[in-house]
Amino acid sequence: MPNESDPAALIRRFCRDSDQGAFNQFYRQQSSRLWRFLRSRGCHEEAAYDLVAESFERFIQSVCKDPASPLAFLYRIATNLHIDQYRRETASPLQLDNERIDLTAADKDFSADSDQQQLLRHYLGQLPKNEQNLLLLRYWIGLTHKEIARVIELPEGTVRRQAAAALKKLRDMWMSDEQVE
Amino acid sequence: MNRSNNVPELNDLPDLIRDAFDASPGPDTLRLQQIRRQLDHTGSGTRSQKQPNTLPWWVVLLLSGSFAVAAWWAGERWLLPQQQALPAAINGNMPGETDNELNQPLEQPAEATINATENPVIYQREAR
Repeated sequence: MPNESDPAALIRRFCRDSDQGAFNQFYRQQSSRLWRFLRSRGCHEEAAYDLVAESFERFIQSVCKDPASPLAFLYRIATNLHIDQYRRETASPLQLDNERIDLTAADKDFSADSDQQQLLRHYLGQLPKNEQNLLLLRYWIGLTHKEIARVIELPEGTVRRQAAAALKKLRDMWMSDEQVE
Repeated sequence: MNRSNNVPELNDLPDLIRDAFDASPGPDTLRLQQIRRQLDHTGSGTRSQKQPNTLPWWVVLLLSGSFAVAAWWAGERWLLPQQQALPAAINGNMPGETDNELNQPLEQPAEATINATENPVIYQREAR
């Protein structure tokens, strides 16, 4: 029996039956996480609210044309909007993929987290941005490799390979720092 | 920074990533609710499939009205025999005018052609 609260099932009901309740449930499920994802990508707090609003607005306008992978579609919109915003703000031909984001500086209220979680954010922040995106989309947001390929517009095989390499690199950095001590 | 001596195994990293970011500070729920209401107000909170070739209702109304006016005008202009002659120039200062011309009664359409149900012409167009 299909899970009624599955994001794809909710959006199918929304598109097929104009079920506003299904869309509301999808919004409640995803809006908070999307905001936090944008914050983890270096977005300012207020800007993250704006991007959430604009992402969902564009999502509603187009999702019913192809409701198969709504999460991938939503994060693709949000990622592109964030990149556009960043380019407007910096106005420099920056290679965004290789930019690093200090995830421990993005938000200061991590004091309640375990040391291990703080260390993880530290080392994850040392990876190039595209690798951070891969790991977060795969293991935090829960997208499949195929869905991530749609978000970042790369072949699925490349996504699978890069995600595995990024995970190994993350552990190697952690291990090498531990060994130095 | 206090460092843990436990480097997680590769298989444990996915769960650690999920837990670490699930614990990150969340947004103001009231702001998210406000965004949800804004989606409704902008008209985006409805099914996204629109009929791409549907004209707005006011365009249809305007076109229908224009067609009706044109049809009425065409009927007035061509379907009814026009036996009224436009009056001579109304401006009495035009050279060459005589009182006889000015006092000519307007030509009336033959009674047989007047349909009792039609409205009488209440104005005449000025001669150009």
